[in-house]
Amino acid sequence: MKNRIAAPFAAAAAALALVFAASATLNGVGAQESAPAAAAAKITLDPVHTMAIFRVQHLGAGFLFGRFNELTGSVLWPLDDGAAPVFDVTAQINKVDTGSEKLDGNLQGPNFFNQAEFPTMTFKSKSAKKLGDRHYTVTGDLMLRGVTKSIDVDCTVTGVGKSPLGPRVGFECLFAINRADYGMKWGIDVPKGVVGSEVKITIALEGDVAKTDAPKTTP
Amino acid sequence: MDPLIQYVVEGVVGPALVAALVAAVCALHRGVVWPFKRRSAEIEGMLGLAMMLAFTLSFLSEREINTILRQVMTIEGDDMPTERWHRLGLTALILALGAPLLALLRDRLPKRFASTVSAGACVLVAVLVGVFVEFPNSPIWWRVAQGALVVASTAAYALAARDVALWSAWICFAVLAVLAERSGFASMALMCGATSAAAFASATVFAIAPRLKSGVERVPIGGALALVLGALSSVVASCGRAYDTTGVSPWMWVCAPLLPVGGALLFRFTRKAQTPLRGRLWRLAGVAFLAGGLLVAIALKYAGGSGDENDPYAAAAAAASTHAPIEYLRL
Repeated sequence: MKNRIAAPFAAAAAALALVFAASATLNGVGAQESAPAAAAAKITLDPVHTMAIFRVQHLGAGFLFGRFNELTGSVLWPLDDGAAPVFDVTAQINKVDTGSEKLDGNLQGPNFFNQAEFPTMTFKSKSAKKLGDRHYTVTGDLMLRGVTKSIDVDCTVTGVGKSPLGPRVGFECLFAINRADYGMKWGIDVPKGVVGSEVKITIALEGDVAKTDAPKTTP
Repeated sequence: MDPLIQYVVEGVVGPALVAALVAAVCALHRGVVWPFKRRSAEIEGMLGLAMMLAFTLSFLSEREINTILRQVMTIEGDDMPTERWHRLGLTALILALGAPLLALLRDRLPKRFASTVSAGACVLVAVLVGVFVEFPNSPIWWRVAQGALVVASTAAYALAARDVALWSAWICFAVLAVLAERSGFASMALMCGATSAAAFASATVFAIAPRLKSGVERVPIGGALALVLGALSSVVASCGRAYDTTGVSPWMWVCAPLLPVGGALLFRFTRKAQTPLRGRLWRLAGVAFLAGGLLVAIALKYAGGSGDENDPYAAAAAAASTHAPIEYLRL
């Protein structure tokens, strides 16, 4: 008799617990936030098809573009877009390329990137917010010239293609930094207005899905 | 004011004028200022301070004082990294304080100890530079060489005749400025330009002072001035080599602080010179000859060009004066 009376309460309690658990899960991640899924595929970046370009104003006039030719690292992302991508990318400062050897030397020198002391620039994502299909704002730590600061990166999955090695994924990430925040102050105030303080960076990433992580179903 | 002119005024002209002012006061005032007993010691100490002050002021025209302070202490709320090349500012500041101290020590001790004090100070500075002034890409053998370069350069300045040391410093730091500019290190080019201009201005002051007032002493070269000029030029050369990004040969960096050796190059002519002035001119000609050779080697190395020949701004920057070899218009 006791069991007959208790059964509906137990069922109701279990249903409530489920509702709370689901609610807690949603709240914990945030309505629009997306955490990296455990089933994410590991995408190893292809250095040839991965690059970063930057843009900075020169003498208050035109924009100067440069490129980091060597980026390495990986991205964790489930190909069904079930979660946000997680980036771990490193750029080699000695591979900066503006098309002018003299300018490359200046940029690698102590007034700018100080390649001798800080040979790499890294970005590691911490969290993400989904904006739409395959479109995220990724928050992470940018380490440049020994200074680490949290930045927001607008990131889009540009496509999932096929290569002889398996699925190939591309991303495009855009962000802007104030270079003075990283101790790169030459040319902002002294000498005044030679090189702009805001640097816009676009990173194009492309890589193969590691074979062990290849999905059973394609999106 | 045009940013380029402002940059040169603040980074080169201003520090050089401060040095020239110190030199003028030293040259023209009467008597000896306490705690110095001999006028020659006072002049040497203060000139050494003026040269190092010019470098430090030029450094501070670009960088905050924190860049020097964080080399030796932790600053609250400061999240900027410690950059090793900022030790240039710290080195110049320490040498600025050290020059009058060494001159005073030589002045106060009996004359027979003067050479021992100078040699001891030189070895001490060489050891300190080798141990504490560490730049990237500098293995232990290079740091030993860095210390040896301090001794060699100091000896080269010390062997220069009176007055010639300042003119030699003018040439030596101008060559270092050119090397720094070539290796993509505009800030160091500016600082070397300031020191070169300071040496030129101070030497000029001491050249014309006897026409304005009788009894003006010539620039003494006892130990303090030679030591600070030799130590700073060696540290600058070592720093330039460490941060070079454009392939300037290390031997060029090593040769630059040793340029005052050229003073002994034309010793036959110096010995036969009929007046002291001609003798000094022959010594200076030797330094200029070596500097010219080094500049030709640099020019030949870059004879192929960097692909920027069509850039009118680059041409304008290349036309900048020896004391302001600034390539900043390129970026």
